[in-house]
Amino acid sequence: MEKNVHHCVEQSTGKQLCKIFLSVDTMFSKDAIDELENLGVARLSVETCRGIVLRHRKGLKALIRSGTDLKENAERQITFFALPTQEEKIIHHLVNKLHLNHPGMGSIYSRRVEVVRTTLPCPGKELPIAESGRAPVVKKLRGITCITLKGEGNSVAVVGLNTGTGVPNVSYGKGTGLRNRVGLWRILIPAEKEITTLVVDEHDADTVMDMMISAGKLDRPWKGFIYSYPVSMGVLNTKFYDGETQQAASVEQIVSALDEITGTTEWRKKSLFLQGKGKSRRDYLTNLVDFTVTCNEGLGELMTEFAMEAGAGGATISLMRHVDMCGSETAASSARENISMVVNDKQVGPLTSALEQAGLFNDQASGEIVRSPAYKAFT
Amino acid sequence: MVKVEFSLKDKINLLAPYVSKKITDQVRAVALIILYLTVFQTVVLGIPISQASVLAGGIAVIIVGLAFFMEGLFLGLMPLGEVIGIRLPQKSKLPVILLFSFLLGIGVTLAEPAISVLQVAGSFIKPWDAPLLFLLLNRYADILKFTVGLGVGLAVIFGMLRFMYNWSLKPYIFVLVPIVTVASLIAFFEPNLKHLLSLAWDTGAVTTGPVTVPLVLALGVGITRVMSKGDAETGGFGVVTLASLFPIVAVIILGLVLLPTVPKPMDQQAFFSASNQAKAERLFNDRTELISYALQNAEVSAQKQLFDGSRTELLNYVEQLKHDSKLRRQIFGSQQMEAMERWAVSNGSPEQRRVVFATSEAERAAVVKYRAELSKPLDLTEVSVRHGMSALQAVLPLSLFLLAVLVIFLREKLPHADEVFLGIFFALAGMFLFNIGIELGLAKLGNQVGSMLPSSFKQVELTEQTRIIHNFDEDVVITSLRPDGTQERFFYTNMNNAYVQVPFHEARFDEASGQYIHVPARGPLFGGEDSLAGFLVVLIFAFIMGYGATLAEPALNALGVTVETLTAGAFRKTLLIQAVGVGVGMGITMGMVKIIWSVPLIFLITPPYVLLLFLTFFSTEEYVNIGWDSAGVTTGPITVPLVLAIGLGVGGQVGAVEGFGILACASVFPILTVLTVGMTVNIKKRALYKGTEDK
Repeated sequence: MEKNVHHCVEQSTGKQLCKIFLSVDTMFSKDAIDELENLGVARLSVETCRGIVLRHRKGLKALIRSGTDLKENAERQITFFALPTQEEKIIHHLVNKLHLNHPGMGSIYSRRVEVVRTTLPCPGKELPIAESGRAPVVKKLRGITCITLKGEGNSVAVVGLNTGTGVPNVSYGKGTGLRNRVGLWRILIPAEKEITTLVVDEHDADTVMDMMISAGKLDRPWKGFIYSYPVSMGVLNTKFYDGETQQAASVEQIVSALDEITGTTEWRKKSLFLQGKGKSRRDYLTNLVDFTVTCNEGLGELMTEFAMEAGAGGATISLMRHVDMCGSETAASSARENISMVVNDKQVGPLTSALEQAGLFNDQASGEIVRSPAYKAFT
Repeated sequence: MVKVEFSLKDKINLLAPYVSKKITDQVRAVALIILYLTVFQTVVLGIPISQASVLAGGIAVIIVGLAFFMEGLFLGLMPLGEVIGIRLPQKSKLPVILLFSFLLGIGVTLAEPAISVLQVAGSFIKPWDAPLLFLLLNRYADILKFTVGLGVGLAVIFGMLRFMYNWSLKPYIFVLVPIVTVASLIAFFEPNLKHLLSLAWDTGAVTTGPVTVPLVLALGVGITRVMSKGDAETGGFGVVTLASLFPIVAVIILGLVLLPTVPKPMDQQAFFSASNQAKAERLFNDRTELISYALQNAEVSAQKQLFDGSRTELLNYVEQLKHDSKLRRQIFGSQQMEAMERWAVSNGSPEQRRVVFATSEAERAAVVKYRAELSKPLDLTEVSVRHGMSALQAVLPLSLFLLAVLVIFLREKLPHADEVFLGIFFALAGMFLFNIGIELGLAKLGNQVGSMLPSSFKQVELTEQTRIIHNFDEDVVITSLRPDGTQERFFYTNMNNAYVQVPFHEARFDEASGQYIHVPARGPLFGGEDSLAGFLVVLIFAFIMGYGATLAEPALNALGVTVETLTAGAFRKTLLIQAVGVGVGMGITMGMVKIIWSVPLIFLITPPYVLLLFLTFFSTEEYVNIGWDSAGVTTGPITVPLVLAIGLGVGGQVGAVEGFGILACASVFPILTVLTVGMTVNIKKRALYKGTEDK
């Protein structure tokens, strides 16, 4: 098969792009990567995560306790950059190619980001994409990311499932913060964290976030951190339950059909307000920026130290694989680390220069800094 | 960066939950196997646990040791392995990486304490039954070790090549398994190699121990993280599998090379006969050693063969030994007269005893003296020193080698050096405590259950409960009749305020001192002698024991954590451990089948391997990697001593030549179960997605 010409543009700064998040079952991740390569995407990152859906208890388990438990499934989250002008077109294309409009096949969404500075190629020219069929894209979404101790991700994630607002996924990360300042005593503080991501309609977001805080007891010290951010559009997985359905169309399919007709998920929100009754008032942090740094593996902790010197409160490091598809001669290793920090607006400048001093933009690190707005955060 | 100082209270607040979590984890891991063994012995076999306090202490030490060891793995050894895995391919060329791999493989094997376990298991092999096996486990033990090391070295090389070039594990399996199977089939038809076969398979299972596996896994995970282009999160696996298969081939080849030099299996008399002596001597370093072995292990009629069949010559030799301290040293390992007396008491024939002891009084005194010695008190210092050395041997050289490679050769700084060093120290301390605990706790418990287990199908003497009845009077003995008219004698005795009938054995009555040595016996508990019901109990026992022991295996836990981390929790550690546990249970049951009915190992191993080839072909790469690797991991420090205890206990009662092969069985079946789990998960998934796409 003839491959599309890759569209690479070298280093750019301050560029407005959209970052597309595609999550699929491990079984289809190769197909997805191949499809992106055909499309001419220059580079992408792959992270391992687990998708979580509800499952009705059956057999012996149901006898002991009826109801539902969770089914975990190995998934990959693939992220790549695209031009904002092509955001919707690319989503349409991938949804059709990867059958993402069928409940349970995965989800795709897009965030608007600004590349603060990078050593890696960014998309410059538009990708040649053939017109494809329509897809049930919904807009005005909001993402919620919650960082908890390892083993507690599911209790937060299940909020999305129980309220029917979204299907979450969970990945692993390492937290740094106080931990790095206490010498060898740090081994007593577990570093392993779980990062739960849930994308919901913006009308539901505040309620869901509040419920997640309660579910994860995030209002207690040391328990975790949660923040929300705008998601411009996406086609979300609506399969909340594992297994097949007997009806001609499953509830999930009806839901996604209605989402497609209305173009938002706002029509679903009624039920949630009832559940969210009596929510407490919490003090959220605002004026925030989601500040994401990527670099070659092994340097993440060093970068975090510099960032914390410059005022960042803490960071979560996760591992990802960098796939370079246009043979650009950068020194980026395929083993990369992703450092995620939520900081104040004004800190972006100082942080960037501190990281530059730390050598983030040298060949050894081959770093990249991306910022995007965050609505509010709670810890 | 601003350092934060913790107050003492903070430190305690942090330390307490940390310690309690690590301890509870291990309690949970070992609980099943300990409870099971205890309940089985006391309730099913109805025999009280002896030395219960030592056992309980030992088990507590195991738990603490395991907690330290696991923490050491995660803090020290695994991060060290991983960082080398990441840096090595970036900084050095292929030949260097392969050389490193080869050295690592050999080093890992020589450091592996479990190899010597096989030697212990081989200690009751008789040279006339299996000459080649005897040679390899005794005189050529070092050559055997080195051969296995060579096999592991090659395995690591091929494993690395796979990581570097992103090869699938499947072709390796499709090439190696048939080679191993065919080699085994050929070996099966040669009487000498036939006995070696089980050992060969077991070395494969044993080489991959609790230090090796986590290290090699971490190394592989690191390398694939840098090298993998495609989509292979579980690509770091596979070395363990290869390290289980290569040594089998290596040992069989070694056997083929040595085959012409050894005599064929034969009976004792023929073995020591003049015509065979030249060949028999080759199994030993010299003729003296051969005589020493014969005196201590062979029957008198066979010993005579060494002295041209002359009884007097043999007795003269014993007489000579009595006076020649130098010769005594060569034969009994000590020039002290005591060593010889001990031999006379435990192994000597009545004639030989008479030569050693001048008077019958002296003889009787010696019997009493050395019998009492059998239950000698526990020497904690000796146990500690021995296990301290073996822990050092297992952990230190390997860690130093890796540190040297990282710092001197790769010129990289060790990240979190303090943490890694603490981890290595934890691993050392853990291994030390853990081994002590195994010896004092688990192995003891296993030995008790193992030696009593045959009572389910056979009468077994409870030597632990031996009592001496003083002032015995033969008049109390009663004669009874069987339906067929044969006479049987028994007497009544009062034990714990109950009158018990005891069969009377003339040999146990010492008229001169008026003592009767009463050894209580039990069984057959289920049906008659050698009843199917009794064997069934043994098989069920073996299954649950295998399952329970697997849950506690440290290397499997490390593998489980690695898999869970690589799949972000989608493939849970518990699922893997459960699947492997069931597999090990099945395998150990099969191993017992081998021993009880002396089924040749090849019949038990070949069918599952052929089935595995099919399953492997149809499975996804992910499950092939995990499944095959879990096979090598299962047979670790918890399972091995228990399996040996049971194998020896039952094997001794049914008269098996060698108890090897159970471990090999315990390695095959977990692959089957894990691949089957993988198949079902994937078939379900496919059906689901197919349904979705059709709509």
